[in-house]
Amino acid sequence: MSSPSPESSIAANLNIEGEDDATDIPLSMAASVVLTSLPRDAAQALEGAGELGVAKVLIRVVPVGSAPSLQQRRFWMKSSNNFEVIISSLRAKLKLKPHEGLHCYVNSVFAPAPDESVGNLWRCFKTNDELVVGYSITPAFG
Amino acid sequence: MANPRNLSSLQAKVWNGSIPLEIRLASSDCRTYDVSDPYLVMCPRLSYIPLLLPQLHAFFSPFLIDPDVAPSKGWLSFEDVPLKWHYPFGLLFDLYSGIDPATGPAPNEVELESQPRLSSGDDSESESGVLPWRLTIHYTEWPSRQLIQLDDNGKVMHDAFINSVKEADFLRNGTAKVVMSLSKADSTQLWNSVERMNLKNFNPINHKLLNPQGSNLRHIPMKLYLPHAAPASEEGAPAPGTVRVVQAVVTPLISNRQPQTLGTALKSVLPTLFPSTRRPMLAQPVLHGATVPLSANLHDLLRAAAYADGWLHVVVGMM
Repeated sequence: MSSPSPESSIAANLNIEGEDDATDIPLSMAASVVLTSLPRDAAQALEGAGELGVAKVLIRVVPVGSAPSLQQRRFWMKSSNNFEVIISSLRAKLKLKPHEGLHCYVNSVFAPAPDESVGNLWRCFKTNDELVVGYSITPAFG
Repeated sequence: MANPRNLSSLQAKVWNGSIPLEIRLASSDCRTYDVSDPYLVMCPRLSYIPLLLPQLHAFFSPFLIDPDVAPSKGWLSFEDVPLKWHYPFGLLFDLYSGIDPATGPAPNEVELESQPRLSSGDDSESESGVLPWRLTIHYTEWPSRQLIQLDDNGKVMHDAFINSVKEADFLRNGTAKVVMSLSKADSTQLWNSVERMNLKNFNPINHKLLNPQGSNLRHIPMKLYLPHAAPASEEGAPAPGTVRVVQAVVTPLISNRQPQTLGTALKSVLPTLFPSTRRPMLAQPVLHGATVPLSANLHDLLRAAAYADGWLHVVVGMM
């Protein structure tokens, strides 16, 4: 048996977090009708087009400002999840009350829209194969 | 690289592009038994839903069951799909209206002077036509699973826009130093120019963003929006599909000399849909209501036809 890659050895004691279902955006009927009559080859080409091809990606979370740090700073997440799953997962880990704010930034630069996909963000902004997410209780990087 | 004058003239056309909208109040929010009058407006393609909400509220408030509801509680839907307020109108239209840019009204006909399908005088034609784009405004039952709540003073919209600008900047330069170094006045001018759709005020700031000193363009900010069919239902009736957004790292050059074209970029990100870099075979790219030639230089396209947030939001239409 081959030795595990560095990535999978990190993975050994990390659970995958996030929801089971991909959260695609609903399409209108007007734009859906054309899809039902696609020839088979076109339908096949569309199926899976643009998918990341990686089911789960590593997220590293970094406290910003006075935000409390977490023991576990790294976790796997399904690439099909939206960024809001990272936000809600961090809220849960930090045991935040509903009125407490949480601001999450990719590479300590920008706050993605909650509906941006984790896979897209990882593909475009990863550092050493990790998506680095800074979190802050008060707004930062305004 | 294209002539700068051609690029600015194309950019001006993109900024002038607008969509005729016919907006009706949801019957559940309307206190009259009969439906209220529709609100008709030519809406700039590059504008955003929250910028239209004050005038919609002013128009519909006499019909509202709850006349005290805040304008920011308004949300739009098309065929029961809630429209994302952080997507520009033009993107929403290209994504959802179902119009085929190859056979629909030519882009110049969609501009202010005419409403081609309506002016035909044929009722059945105007019923089935796509234009004006018929939307519904709601003031209750906010779809919180799909949409972030807006606030009364427009800060949520502003922040979403600026974050999108920063994300684009990060892709272009590998850092967001450029957008972060804009003065407060510049940054205010950027958003105000979008609120008022004022290209003259937008361009000086956009120029600073696109031409940072001592830094070369690293990546082209581009998002691709792909329609997906729903799994076939048992009755065989068509069901609404879904949209998948694909974002990948796209460089402006594919070798030392060879610029990236829309075709080479699409082939590298979506090889099954774009097997050829020159000829659309199964799908075609749609931007601002027009099909874009695959031979278009992507860097030129970015400078002439990006949305106000600095992104090329390209809808992939199946042929």
